[in-house]
Amino acid sequence: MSLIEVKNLTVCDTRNDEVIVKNVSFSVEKNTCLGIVGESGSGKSMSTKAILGLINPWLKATGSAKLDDVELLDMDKETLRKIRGRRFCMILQDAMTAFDPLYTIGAQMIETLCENTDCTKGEAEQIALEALEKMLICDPEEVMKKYAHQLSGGMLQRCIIGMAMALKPEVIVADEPTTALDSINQREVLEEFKRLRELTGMTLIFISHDLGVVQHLADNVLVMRYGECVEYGKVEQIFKNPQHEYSKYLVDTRIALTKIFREAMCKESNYSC
Amino acid sequence: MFVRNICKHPFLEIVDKVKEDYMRDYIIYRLIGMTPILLGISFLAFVLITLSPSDPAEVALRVNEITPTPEAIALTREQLGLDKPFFTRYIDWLVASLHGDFGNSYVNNKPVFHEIITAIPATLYLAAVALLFTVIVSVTAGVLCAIYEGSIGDKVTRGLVFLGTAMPSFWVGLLLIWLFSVKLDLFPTSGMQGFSSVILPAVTLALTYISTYTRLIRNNMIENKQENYVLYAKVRGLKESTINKHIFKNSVQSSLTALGMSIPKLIAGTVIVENIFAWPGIGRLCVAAIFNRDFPIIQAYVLMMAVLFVVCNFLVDIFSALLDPRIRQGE
Amino acid sequence: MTFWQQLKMDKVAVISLTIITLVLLIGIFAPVVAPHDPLGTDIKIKFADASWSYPFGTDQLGRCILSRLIYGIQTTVMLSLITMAATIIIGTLLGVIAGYARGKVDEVIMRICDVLLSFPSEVMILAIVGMLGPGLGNVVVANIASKWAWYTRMIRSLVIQYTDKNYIRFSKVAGCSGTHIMQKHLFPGVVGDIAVLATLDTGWVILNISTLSFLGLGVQAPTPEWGMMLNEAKNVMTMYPSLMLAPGFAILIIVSAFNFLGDSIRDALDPKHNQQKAVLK
Repeated sequence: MSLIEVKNLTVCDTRNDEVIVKNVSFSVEKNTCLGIVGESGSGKSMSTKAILGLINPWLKATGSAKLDDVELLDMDKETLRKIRGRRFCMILQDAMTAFDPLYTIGAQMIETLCENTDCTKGEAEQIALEALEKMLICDPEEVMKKYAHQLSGGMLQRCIIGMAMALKPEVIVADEPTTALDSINQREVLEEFKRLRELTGMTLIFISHDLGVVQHLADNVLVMRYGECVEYGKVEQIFKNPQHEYSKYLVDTRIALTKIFREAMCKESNYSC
Repeated sequence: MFVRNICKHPFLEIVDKVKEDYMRDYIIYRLIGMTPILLGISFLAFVLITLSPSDPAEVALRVNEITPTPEAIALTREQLGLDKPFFTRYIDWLVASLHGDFGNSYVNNKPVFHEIITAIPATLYLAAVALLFTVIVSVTAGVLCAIYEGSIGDKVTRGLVFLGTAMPSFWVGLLLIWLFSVKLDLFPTSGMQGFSSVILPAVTLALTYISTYTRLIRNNMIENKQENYVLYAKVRGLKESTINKHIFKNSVQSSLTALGMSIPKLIAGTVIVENIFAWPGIGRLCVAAIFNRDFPIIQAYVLMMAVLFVVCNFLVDIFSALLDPRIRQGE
Repeated sequence: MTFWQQLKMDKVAVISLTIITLVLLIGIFAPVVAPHDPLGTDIKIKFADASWSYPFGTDQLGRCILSRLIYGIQTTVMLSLITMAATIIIGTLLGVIAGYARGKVDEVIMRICDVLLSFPSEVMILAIVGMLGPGLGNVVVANIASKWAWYTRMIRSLVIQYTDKNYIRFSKVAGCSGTHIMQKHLFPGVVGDIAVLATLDTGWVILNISTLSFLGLGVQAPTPEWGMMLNEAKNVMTMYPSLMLAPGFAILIIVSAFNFLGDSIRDALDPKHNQQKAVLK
């Protein structure tokens, strides 16, 4: 039995009857990583937000989304909130605006830890420091004293991931965590994810429009387009032998891009290709 | 303990930061920038009255029911120092003003300063009560409307607020007098006697500003609700009340400038209310002075109010800067 | 969707525009529409109740209230529009000159605006009325003087924004004269924002004129004006409170209409607002 089971998830805008996500189904086993790929606007984030009850009030989600056989879509707000903090963790795309600009990072991390676990402020502070150390941040005490606008995007993203790890959730949903970062930071964050998966064996849902990244991390892949599920299967199968037109197109484009790049690099530096 | 370092009380942090150089520099920079504006305002205040088409000497005589014969006018001009060249008069007036000497009223020949000082406490009292009403009602209404956005209460409040901005405040004052004083006999109709007499004037004065600030706070909070940090707070599983607290703090930041400026606006806005309710403050003094063409009083009132606005603006700016860690940290 | 189509769809805007147009028409054709002479007194019928010949009754001097309301439109509403027009013309002229000419001229105009803007408008109006004395013309001058600086500054910053855009540079390169550029390219872009401000400010000016008249500093008796009518009604409040209703509601309705219209114009101009119907991620 899978940990997460989503069947025929549909998200509809009640103001103009527009369908944003249509009949999406997938399942995630424990200790696996599901990669959701697609272009911008394909409904990737919307699906996961709908499962967690984070969509705007004028959007309605129908269908079924089960966590450990418990239906999430019709759950009451309070229980869902508790699940969001303790069992699910979501890492957002834009780390720079994710924190309240008026409070220090440390204050907000402690606030989160105290709310979701039964620890005191002192214990929370310790846990936060350890989490930041695990994320290979050199001076965690200094970082905790700073405000969001004083830190770089990559650093903030690592704080968010660190905080998510510290909560020890069952599932982590990473929504395009590397999109807003430059390539150096991107690489660091991805290595982080790889390392954590190997260390903790956590269940991960990774949303990205970058196929290379997904290939790196995922076990299963869900390809989305215009709010619909286009193809769903194991990662090797999708990348080596995509069935649907669109998946083929995505994979081919990606290979073409990297091929050009690799050729250019070879010419430039006599690199062995 | 270390936690205290991270979660230091904002006030203590502010005090620490003021001692920092860049905050001090910012304050000094603003003070220097304020000086030419203050000078310009004093000049404007002086010019406005001096450019009057009526001859102040003649006016002064007429008000005291003395026939303005050419000799009398010449004599009065000399007495009032009106025969000196323009800039000399301006400098004299400015220097005297800084000492609190605004000359004497044309009407009763008492020192203008004395007249104003006796009238100010009443105005400040009225403005303070009105400010209290404004802050309590607009913050409560604004926050509740934002939290329960789209509900019936929200829609009704927004309708009322809208009407409030279109209603002439003197009309509201009159209606309130009729309802509460004449019909229900709950409050006195005019004058300043005891606490109950300040309620109607304060409510009338506050009504215009309540509309503006309720709308402002509500809109600020709703804008903040759409921010990314609110989404992330929900993702982290924080309680609804905690999230609202975060939103509120961020909204107050932006509303603070407007709320701060409401203080001088309330003091200036007492002009109408004091006239309806026969409240013995500077508003009533000013209007009477306009009717009597009592220029020294008008001049002093205008200068005082203008300076008050500029100074309040400055204080509010500094205060906002202190509260916002982005500015505070020298970014 | 063009601006006009957008506006037509907004029911509130349509209602407001209708009310305003109606009021203006009634005001223009006041001699035809009003049942009686607004200045015609008849002490015998003072404080009369509403009747077919006097739909709103009569005031303390036996004058027809409805007629006074209708003629009052000319004083209150139309004068406010003239005030606004004058303010906008002055503000636009100076703003465009400052924005386009830059340099010394710009500096001087901006310093003057700075000082004027630091001066609170309520106080400025009192100062000018204090200097010139009570009277309707003086009230109008006071309103213009307190508002023009705001428009100048706004229009100047808009002009600067637009001059930075490429199509202006191309025009300059193509050899178009300065005035031609100003007329053809700058004005149309700026008109929209001015329209919003002007509409909202008209309401503000109407309130100002009636407030000053209420205090006795604006119109002088016996000219009919809504604020003045409320002042007269105030004196007989205990005996005939109904006299306070008509002028007050008149002000409320017309100012609301202008406020609603201003809001609707702003919404119609704002592309973000229009796209809220689009798909949200």
